[in-house]
Parts: sequence; C-alpha cells; structure tokens
Amino acid sequence: MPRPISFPPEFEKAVAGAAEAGVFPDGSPGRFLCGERAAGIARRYGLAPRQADEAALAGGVIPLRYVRNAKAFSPAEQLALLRSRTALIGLGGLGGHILELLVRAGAGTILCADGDVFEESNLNRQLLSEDAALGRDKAEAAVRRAGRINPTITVTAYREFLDEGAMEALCEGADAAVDALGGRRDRPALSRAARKAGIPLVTGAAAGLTGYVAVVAPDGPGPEDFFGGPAGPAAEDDLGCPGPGVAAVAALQAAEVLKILCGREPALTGSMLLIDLGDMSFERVRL
Amino acid sequence: MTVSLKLYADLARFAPPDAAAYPVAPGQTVAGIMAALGLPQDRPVSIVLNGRAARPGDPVTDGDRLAFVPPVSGG
Repeated sequence: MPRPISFPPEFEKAVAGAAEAGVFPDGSPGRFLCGERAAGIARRYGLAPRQADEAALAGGVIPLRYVRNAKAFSPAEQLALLRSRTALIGLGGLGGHILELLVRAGAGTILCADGDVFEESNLNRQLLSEDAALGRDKAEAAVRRAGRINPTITVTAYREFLDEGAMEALCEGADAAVDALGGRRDRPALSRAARKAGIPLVTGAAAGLTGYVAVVAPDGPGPEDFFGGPAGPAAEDDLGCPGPGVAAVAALQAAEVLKILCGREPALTGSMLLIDLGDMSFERVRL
Repeated sequence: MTVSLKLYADLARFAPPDAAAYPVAPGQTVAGIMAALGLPQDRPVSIVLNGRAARPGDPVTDGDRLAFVPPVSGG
C-alpha cells in the first residue's frame, strides 16, 4: 500500500480548487482534474505533475486520464498504482504490450530492460516495433512511447541483457517483477532474483495460439516446476509467435500485475492459466 | 469409460477426433494414453489431470479431464 503522502496545504488546496464536478458514464457524480491544469499547478509549486495527480486522488478527485479506470480502481488503489514500482524484464512481444497497459494505467515507476534491437521478424507482434525503426533499441523505443502516452509516470529502460545480479538489482525495492522474456534460458535467473527480493513474479509465454500466465510467490512454485528445466526445444520453434497469442498473454499478465501494484491479491498465485485461442479454452492448473 | 483430452500447442496434431469423450479401458494410466496417441517420447510433455500437474504413471478414471502441454516459452 502507498506510503503516507504529505504535500504543502496550499498545493493540495490548489489541486482541489482546480477539480471540476462532472458525472461518470453511469450517471454517478464525480470530481475530475484535467492533466493540463494538474501540470500547471505542479509547475507553480515546483512539483511533478504526478504529484498533482496523487494529491487529487488523496482528496477523492480523479485525474481525467484515469477516469475510465475509476470504476475498476478506487482512488486509493489508483494512488497506490501511481506510487508503485515495477521491474519489467524484456521489451519484445510480451514486454511491449505489458508496458503499454501499465503506462496507460498509471503504474508510477517502471524499471525495464532489454538489450535487443528491432528486427523485421518482430513486426508481427511487438507493439514497440515499427517498420521505420528497424535496428533501433527496444529500450529507447519503450521510453519514447511511454513518454508520449503518459508523461506523468517514470519509465527507466536499460539497454542491456541483464545477468542474474542485474536482475536482482532491478527487483530490489520493486513491488512486482514481470517476466516478459523470450525463450527458457534466462527465466530461472529472474525467478531467483524475484524470490531474493521477496516480491511476486508475474510470468507468461506464448507459442502459436497457446500460452500461459502464472504468478509466482517468493516462496511458491512456478511454471519451471511444471515444464522442467530451461534446456531443450519449445513449441514456439514449431508454431512461431503470432500477435494474438502474445497480446492475450501480455494482457493477462498486466491484469495480474495491476492487482499486485494496487494492493489486491492476484488470482493466479501458485496457479498457471493455460490458454488456447484456437478453441478459446482457458484452463487453470494448480502448480 | 471415457476421458476428455486436450492437447496444447504443437501437440494438437495428435488429438484424436473423439478427444471430448475418448474411450479408455479401466485401469488405464496417463502413460498408456500417451502411447496410444503416439505422443513424441524424445521431448518433454507436461501432464495436467483435473487441473493438477500429474505423472505418466497416474491412473485415470471415468470423466477425467486430461491435458498435455509441451514447453512454451515464446514472447
């Protein structure tokens, strides 16, 4: 849950005064704050725009950029999201979509890493890839896109393939770790790093139209226990990774991450959700 | 007796036409069904029996739901 916040009383008063009464789509009343006003007030007091959003939420005022989330996340939960910290490893197919959803939801601080550059074969599924940006860094693209979507949050991207020590450093102090890696080789190291940091790991993978999502508690079982070791062939070697499978897994991962960040229990702790978009079947497996 | 079968990812090609109600003999084990389906033996296959991880030697009973999952790790 978020740490207590304390802003200058005049700042809080200015934020409250800038809020406007309105109604939600269901007709219920609310008080809302537009981003431009929030940024202006923050600038006047030498604070960051996100702090104006935090002060607004603390007073029950919804920043307009989160208004369509306000029935899914209470003001206190949205405040927790803004004050959360996420470690996201991998900015390819899964990572690009997960980043997009976390940024739009207002996950306040996201530390992410990927040492790769975009290739033409990424274009079928990787949200951050663009035809005109082949050969460019995925990390750089992540920061650029996040800044265009939600400049009030902080996204720091490292242009490197993390070893286990670097994964530990990224996870330290985070509220959740997110496994958006491709392949099996590096996943056990991330699992150990999250366990060492004492934080839940939200993991997932896809092959063709099949995929899975799981939440691994620091002291709990994970998909590695189900699939076995990190060596050997995997189904994506045969089936590739078409966009819908990857995006579906990423969306399910993001849903679990957001629950953790806002202080709720994720649904899949100790379980794995298997999905098959071929016949639209979903099946839960107790790990 | 019958069990329902689900074969994930590239194992789907081994799914029989009657996967929803696949006939098995009493006392049949998961390994017996894997052999009958012709699942590859040179690569790992994880087993789910009624929502829990299972082993090849586990017996199946009427109405069970049995799934086979290859390693999946794409992103």
